Amino acid sequence: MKSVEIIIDGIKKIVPKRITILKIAQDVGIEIPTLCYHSAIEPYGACRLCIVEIERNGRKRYVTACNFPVEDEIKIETNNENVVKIRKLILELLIAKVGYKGKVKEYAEKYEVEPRFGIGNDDCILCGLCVNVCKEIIGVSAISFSQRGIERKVSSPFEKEPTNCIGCGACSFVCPVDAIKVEDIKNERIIKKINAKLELEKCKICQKPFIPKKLIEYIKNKLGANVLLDIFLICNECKGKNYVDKLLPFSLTGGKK
Amino acid sequence: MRKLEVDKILEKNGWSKNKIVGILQDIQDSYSYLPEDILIYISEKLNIPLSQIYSISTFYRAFSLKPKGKYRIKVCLGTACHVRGGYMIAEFLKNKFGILPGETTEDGLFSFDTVNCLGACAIGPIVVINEKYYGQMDVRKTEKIIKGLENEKNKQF
Repeated sequence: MKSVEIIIDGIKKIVPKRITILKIAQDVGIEIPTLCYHSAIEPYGACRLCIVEIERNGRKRYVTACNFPVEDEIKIETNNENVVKIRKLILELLIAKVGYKGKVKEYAEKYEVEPRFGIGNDDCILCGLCVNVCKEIIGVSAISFSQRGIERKVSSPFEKEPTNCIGCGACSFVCPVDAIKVEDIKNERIIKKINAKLELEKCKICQKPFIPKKLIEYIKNKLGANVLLDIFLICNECKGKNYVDKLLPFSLTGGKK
Repeated sequence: MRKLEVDKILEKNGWSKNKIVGILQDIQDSYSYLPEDILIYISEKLNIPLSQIYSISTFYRAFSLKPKGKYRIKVCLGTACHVRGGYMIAEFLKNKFGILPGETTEDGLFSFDTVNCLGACAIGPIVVINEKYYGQMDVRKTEKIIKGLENEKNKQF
């Protein structure tokens, strides 16, 4: 692989071509704030918070570190005065949209940001993590962005119950501002934000409903027929009590107890 | 059956995922909107997630998820048309029909949209009704045309 020499915050480094600035920074141990980045998901560049300054042939430019592939010799500044100024503005705008929530709150405190444009009360910063995790990692694409401009939002098709949602909750898990809440009420899992409602299967041991039936079906299909082990039908609490105590030592001793 | 018509459109576009925007345009032309059941059908046939089709359908102003009227009126509010009084025509239509841009009258006869530029600024302000372009428009001329269309409807019954 071809490599290229770059300077990041004064540190010289030879890196493979097309690696992103964010990855270089992580290697070197420089912290760059991110909201819409997740190591398992293709970078999207929506939140703009990972903005850094690059200098090429004496010209400066501001790019998002998460999705900028290094092609030639550049000088990168990840935390200088200009970069911090831009980041603060981005945070001010995010606060104007959603107020102090989740990771936005964390970064606002870290960068000592005042609410210059007011404090908003939307739930979502449109970072796209939920949409992309559903598409890339889960492979379901139950939700997407809809509308555009100031009306842009995350929703299920036609704002109706998404027929293909398996209720895995990955969207809720990756959300940096906790906009998607997963609630298990009796034998139903409800994800209000995306209009999802799923029937739950009971735990084989304690009989408490805990996993969507559609999710079990999905795992079954992914793994192939008949490989579904009972382990998927036992809730986490019961796994803790039973599986580790009884079954794990069993497997460690090669089947003899 | 609708499916045959939709299949024809899909056939024309080579059953290609990449041509989804073109397919949706053809559907919009045929039905004057994008019916939900057809979008679901396309999603299944072309193996495109419904969420993605919904995303595209709501992104472009050219697509509508609600049925459009028999006469689809577009008023240009691009810079040139705007300064020559296009906004007055838009205001007039709003009051005349009692609907907002993007909506359709209750009798399903007229729908009304504003657009940002039709690329024919020289003849602005422009009003487009179905595929017909009317140049150098003002409120009075628009009123006359609409009266004509309303009379045409009365004649038919």
